[in-house]
Amino acid sequence: MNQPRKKMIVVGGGTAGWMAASAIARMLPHAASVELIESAEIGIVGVGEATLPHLRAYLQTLGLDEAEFMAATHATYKLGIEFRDFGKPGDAYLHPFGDFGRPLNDVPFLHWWLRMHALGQGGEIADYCVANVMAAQKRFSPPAADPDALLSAYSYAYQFDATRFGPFLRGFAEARGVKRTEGKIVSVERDGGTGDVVALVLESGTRIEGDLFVDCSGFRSLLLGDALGEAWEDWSHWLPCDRAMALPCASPSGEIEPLTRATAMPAGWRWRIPLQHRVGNGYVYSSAHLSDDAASAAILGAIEGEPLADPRVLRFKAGRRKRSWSHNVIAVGLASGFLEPLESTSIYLVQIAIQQLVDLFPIGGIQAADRDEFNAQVDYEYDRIRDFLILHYHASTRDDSDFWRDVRHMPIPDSLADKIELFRRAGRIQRYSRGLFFAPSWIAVLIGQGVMPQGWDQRVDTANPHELGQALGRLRVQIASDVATLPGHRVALGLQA
Amino acid sequence: MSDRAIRSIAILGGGITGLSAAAAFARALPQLAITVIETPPDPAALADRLPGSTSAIHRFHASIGLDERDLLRAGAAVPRLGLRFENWSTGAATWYHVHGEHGAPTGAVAFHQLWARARREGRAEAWHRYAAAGVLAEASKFVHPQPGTPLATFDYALRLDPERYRPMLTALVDRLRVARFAGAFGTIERRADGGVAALMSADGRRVEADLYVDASGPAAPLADAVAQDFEDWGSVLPYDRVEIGEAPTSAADPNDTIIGGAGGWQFAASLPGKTLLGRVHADRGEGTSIAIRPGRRAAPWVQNILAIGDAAVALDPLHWPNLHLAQSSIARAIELLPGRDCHPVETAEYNRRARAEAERMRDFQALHYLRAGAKIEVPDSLARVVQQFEQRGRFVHQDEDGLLEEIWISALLGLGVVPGATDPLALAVSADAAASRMAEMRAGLATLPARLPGYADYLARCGMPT
Repeated sequence: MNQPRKKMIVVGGGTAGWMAASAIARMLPHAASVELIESAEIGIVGVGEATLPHLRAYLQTLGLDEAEFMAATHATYKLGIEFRDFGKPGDAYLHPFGDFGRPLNDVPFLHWWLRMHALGQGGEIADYCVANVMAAQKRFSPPAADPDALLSAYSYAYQFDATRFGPFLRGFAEARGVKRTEGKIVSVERDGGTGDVVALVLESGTRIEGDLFVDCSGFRSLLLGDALGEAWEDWSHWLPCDRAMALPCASPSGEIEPLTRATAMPAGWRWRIPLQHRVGNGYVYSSAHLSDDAASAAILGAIEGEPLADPRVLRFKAGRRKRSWSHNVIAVGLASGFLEPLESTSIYLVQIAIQQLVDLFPIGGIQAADRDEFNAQVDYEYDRIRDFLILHYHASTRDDSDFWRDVRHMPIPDSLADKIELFRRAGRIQRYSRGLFFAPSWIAVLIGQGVMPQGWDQRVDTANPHELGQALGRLRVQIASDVATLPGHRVALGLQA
Repeated sequence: MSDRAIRSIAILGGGITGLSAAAAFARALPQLAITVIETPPDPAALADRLPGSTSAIHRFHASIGLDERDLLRAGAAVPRLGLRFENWSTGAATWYHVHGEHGAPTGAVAFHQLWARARREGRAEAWHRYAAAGVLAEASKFVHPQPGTPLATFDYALRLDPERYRPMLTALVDRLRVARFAGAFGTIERRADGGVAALMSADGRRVEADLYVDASGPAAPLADAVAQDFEDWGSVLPYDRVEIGEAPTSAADPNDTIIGGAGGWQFAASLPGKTLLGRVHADRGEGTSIAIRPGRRAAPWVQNILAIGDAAVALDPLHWPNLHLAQSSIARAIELLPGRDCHPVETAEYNRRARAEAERMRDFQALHYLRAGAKIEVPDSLARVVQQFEQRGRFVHQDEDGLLEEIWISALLGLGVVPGATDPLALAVSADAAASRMAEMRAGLATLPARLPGYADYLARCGMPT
């Protein structure tokens, strides 16, 4: 309109790059032209096979068809993440995308359950979570539209082949005017005065100028890290895992579980992500506690089907750049920071950065206050996720390896210590209004890893235990029988049962 | 089990705040023994003395079982649509701050973004004219919201007559078997750990409880006896004197009137049979004014002593925050009620939420003074809200904000903080298409008042005494 369109250059054609290019092309075509530079020589990490429900909002905003997306990426449905052996060997719990029961007389369900649990009744809290019961029965159906229906109190995400997501989005983005340039960036030109990035020079000698540079170059952080030298904040003292050994394998026969599984291992944990056509596996470990060869052997020994590739090692470090947006460079995804995929947060962090960029898009030129606002929002998300991840290592009684002895005794951030103690006292959760991980997530992981509240909300004390027990029993039976009517996961995916 | 449970509560303060706390605790936790020590009213306890509330009051009334119809029939409350601002030094000469939805979004684009562009182009009416509540407020009409009609999405607050409202609370707490006696604060007995072991009234009556609530007003002798951690907000909120008076009844008005001026502001609120008047300023010379000290206790909950209402947060009455915060603190205390030992990690969460909520309210008031040109220190949290809204119409959400986004935006736009640039997303919506939709919306809303009863007629129909 009255402002000329900004020339936005996206560096990197992985998941983050194509997600950013597609979103800007779809939502701000009048405000920006988009050019994406990728090099076939540089492989993509392809992280984020497992996602969070928020990805659905991204697809909807772009107007992408769910069925087409799922077919193109061989996606499966996901109702949560199952954690095995974290609290202690033999434990298993699901961190579900859904609530536990429903509040009764304004009091959260947890407290009613805690009271019955103290009497040795009431079953497991997981029995009151529709997503949990569905996952256990390997069934799936989208949530009911009626918010009063029992089968409405959950959400879902996808597990997909991340290497196919970028190409899927590429078609969408190119149809909306995104220019794709093949080439390797050999140098970055900066303005001598402002320090802003002015242009990128490719190996071919081509010089690409831009107003705004979105760094989606992954761990290399070509612009934010290399060119601008943005400082790194290291979190490896809290999250010491720094390698992953990835290995896809053939799907076992039988029903596909609608969940991602994380199983604790002697020097970290391993993921299992069932897709339509294969299973993704990987061992996330601490190189101080395990050699690459030993990790490779361990993952080969753990998989349930024919390996479909050689084990591939990824190196990383937990932490993030102090600022994700510096000068006219905005880093999205791994170029801005890394948190291990224990809670499937990688694509979520990409999405948040894109959403903030859309909200704060510098139509009339970059304002320092907008940049600060962007960075504050990104920090807020990183800090939340960091604490939540540390909880999985801290709330453990494992004593069977150096790694677990080290991580469970590591000092933790005060912010996390307070959250744990608050829950331990009477099942209260620190409240916040946005970001990730609300009460059900904390309840799932805390109780799942053995942090049981010693008290509860006093308002439940007046209930008659006999009647309360009966009411809870009816709810359990109702959930189990409603879920039993749903189709199996394969049928829901349109695959052969 | 409940060997950790609080069994008894003593409440110091027999005003609206103290009785509201007694009623709410008794409803939520009927097993508690509750005693109210009805101290003489503190003139500076604004939560107890002033008529204002927000739309959050309905939920509180539902929780204690106070029926609005009964309140209307007794003349203890009347509905209030909004505040009519006159002569505030920025924004329009007269504008209405109302509750409820304004306009409707276009896809992902918020209505205020489209409004701001149309306003800059000179083709939008005042912001409140796109809200059903604003249209009714301006026409002096009222009905209760009607689901399934264009009148479904507005909201209203209540204006209370403290002299009639308090006896209704008294009757309620008596029905709920709350013990109460008239007395004044005398002294406390401390436990070895610094908590309170017993409270003595001035005439020597001894009350023992697991939890002590100071709802006695800003002097807060009980809370002060255990901690002096008052944080002064005088540099942010410029006015610290309030005068309250009464005038004979005038024409019933669904709005309170707020009149700005040099060095302060005045209010008028019509109640059954009278009009409550007030003036808020900073003149030290006058003898009749009530002194307030804007600020709050850094930790309203210390060990087994909880300060609520003006004992916890003191604000001037702009937008009637006093009772609103008192009721909110009562609900929060019930939700987070700790064990009998009042473990610091449990009270810390209460204090964290209380602090954040009070700061948001302070910022909201400060926004008005900032726009009126007062020389105040602008908190960073407010500067961020103003910068983002002024720059691009982006509303920054902050944790524990008890005010809805619509309340903030109504004030921001009313005070003339109009976004200077169009939001990137809104640019995708054609200005002409948006303007014609807005015109259509306005035409629909403009037909409402003619079909509705006048405010006074409607209240008479609800059985309000004259």
